[in-house]
Amino acid sequence: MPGYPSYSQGTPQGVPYAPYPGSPAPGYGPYPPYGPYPPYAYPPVQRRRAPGETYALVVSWIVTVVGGLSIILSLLVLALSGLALALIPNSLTTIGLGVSFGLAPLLGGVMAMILGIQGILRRPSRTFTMPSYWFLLALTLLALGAGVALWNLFPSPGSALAVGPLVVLSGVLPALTILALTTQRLGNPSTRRHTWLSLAYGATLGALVAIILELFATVAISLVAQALGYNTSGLSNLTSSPTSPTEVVIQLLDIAIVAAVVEETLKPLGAVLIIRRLRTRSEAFLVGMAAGIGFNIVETIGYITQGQSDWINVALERSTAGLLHGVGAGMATLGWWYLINGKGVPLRFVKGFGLILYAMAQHAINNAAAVLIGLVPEPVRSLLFDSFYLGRLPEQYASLFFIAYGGVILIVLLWITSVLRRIDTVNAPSAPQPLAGAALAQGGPR
Amino acid sequence: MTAPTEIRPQSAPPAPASRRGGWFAPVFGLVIAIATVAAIGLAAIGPLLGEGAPSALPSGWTTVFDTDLTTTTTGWETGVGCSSGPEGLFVSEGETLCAYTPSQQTDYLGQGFRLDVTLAPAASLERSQVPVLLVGSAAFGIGQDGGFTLTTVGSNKVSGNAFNWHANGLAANTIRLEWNGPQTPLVAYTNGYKATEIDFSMSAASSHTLKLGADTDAQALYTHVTLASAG
Repeated sequence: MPGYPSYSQGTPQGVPYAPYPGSPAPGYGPYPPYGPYPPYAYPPVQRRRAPGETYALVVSWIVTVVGGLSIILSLLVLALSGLALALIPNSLTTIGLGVSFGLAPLLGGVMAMILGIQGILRRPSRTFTMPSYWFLLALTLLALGAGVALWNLFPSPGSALAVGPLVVLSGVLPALTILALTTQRLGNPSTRRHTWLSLAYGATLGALVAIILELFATVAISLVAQALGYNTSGLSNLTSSPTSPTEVVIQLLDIAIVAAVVEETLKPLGAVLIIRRLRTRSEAFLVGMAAGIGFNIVETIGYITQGQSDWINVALERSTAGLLHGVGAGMATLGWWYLINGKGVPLRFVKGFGLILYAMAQHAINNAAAVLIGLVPEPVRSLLFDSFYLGRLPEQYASLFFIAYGGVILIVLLWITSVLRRIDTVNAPSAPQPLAGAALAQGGPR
Repeated sequence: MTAPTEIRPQSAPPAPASRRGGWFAPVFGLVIAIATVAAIGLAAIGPLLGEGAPSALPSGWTTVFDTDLTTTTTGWETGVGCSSGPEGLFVSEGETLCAYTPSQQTDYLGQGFRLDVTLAPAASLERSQVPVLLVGSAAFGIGQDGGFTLTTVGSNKVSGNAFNWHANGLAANTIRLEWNGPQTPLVAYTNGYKATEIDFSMSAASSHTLKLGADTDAQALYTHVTLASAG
């Protein structure tokens, strides 16, 4: 524009600014460079452990260590069993010992280690489920039916190694059917960790300690009887019928009383160890029953393998033994649940001790019958020890008594599972309930 | 804005974290079903896998006697502890042996023999049935549970359990002792399958007597006996 100097764009006009001093005014030192912030330690967040969590962790460690020991010992037993089979190859008894004291502890040990480590890592355990009990019942009938058919076709089975797996399954399948029936009637109330570990305990430590204690008890009874001047020959052959009143008393004491008390005390102990973790009566019953089922599997396989060619006779007679051991252990564990967890439950101690005594009485009646059945007077005795035939396979009528007793226990099982399901359903909280104060804060109940 | 809801603290131990059963039950069912079928199949071929007793006599051997003891016990020593009856040759006293009297004069055993005996079901006796077979210098005894011992005069002894033995007391059992002559073992079979064997020899000076009996505190009821000889 004329008359006005033009400003060049972008360039200051007039006196240029002096260069800005590169340093602050004299007298002020430079700011020190900012160093990194010193580490600031936040106080750790103290997560409160849930009640019983430390206890569960300790149990998990114990289970893991015992599982490892069990694996080592079972491998030793399996090696010895293999050696024995190499020397006497066709022995079902050796196979039975190998399965009961080698394979069962090996499987139990592996299971204990896996589930124990999961517990240490605080991994949640899934719900314990089983295949349908109808399916397992069908497999049981298939296995036992095949055993009967094979006996009719080949009364001498030939190779013990070939028959061994069917023998073992004939002991395992009826027991698993009872466990499946129970868990399904109770609505699958427990976890895999609790149930399988309890079963493993019953099949390993429970059975082993029971054998040792019963052996000690037998020796003690013998020594006391001898000191009192009685003949104790009745204890040397507990499988034959007693021939004198003294033998009757001694056998009843040893077989009926000692075995019932020892076994019904030991079987629930695995479940008692974790009873504070068992939330409901149903869970306590199932976890206890699992121990009894494990115990029964080992005991039944031991008995069946003593039957040699006639293993199927023993398998049929023992087909309901899982009810005796399983329901007994379940009832006793339920008793312990009332004693330990049942604060506030009416008649808690009566229920607790009553259930434990029921388990012992149920077992004692079964074992006492085994002693006394040989003393039944004629003509009932002849009838009991007469044979009926499944094809050509002979079976004594007396065995039906024990199968029928199993039927009575089955009725008890059906009854108690329906009662427990009902009680636990009534007591179960349907959803987290707000406290009264919180409800008032929201405007109070409408 | 609503106040935060206070949840009642859970006093009971924690519930299972997952309520799902997952894959376990169906897989477990499948595995156990396969195992059951496989076990039945294996048991069905068991008789083929056992070491069975030969059926035919070796060439040149002859049957010395084949006696149904329920009809006759001719040649067998009876008296104290041994009796003859419609049920068979009954050894009622423990530690009793009934001799086949012709074997005390004639050697049926020295070149090889096959002795077959059949026992009545153990349930027909008052006491346990524990038969003992004495063949020259060898003895074989077997309990009701299948536990056996085979001994020879040279203090050789083999013990074990015979799997192919009817231990229920309701079925009859058979025993075979077979020796095919010098340089061969004495083999014991129960119900047609090998139970055990032992080194064995017989000299001209050794006993050649054949006896049937029962063990201590036991009985035995023999219903059939057959002897074949290589001599």
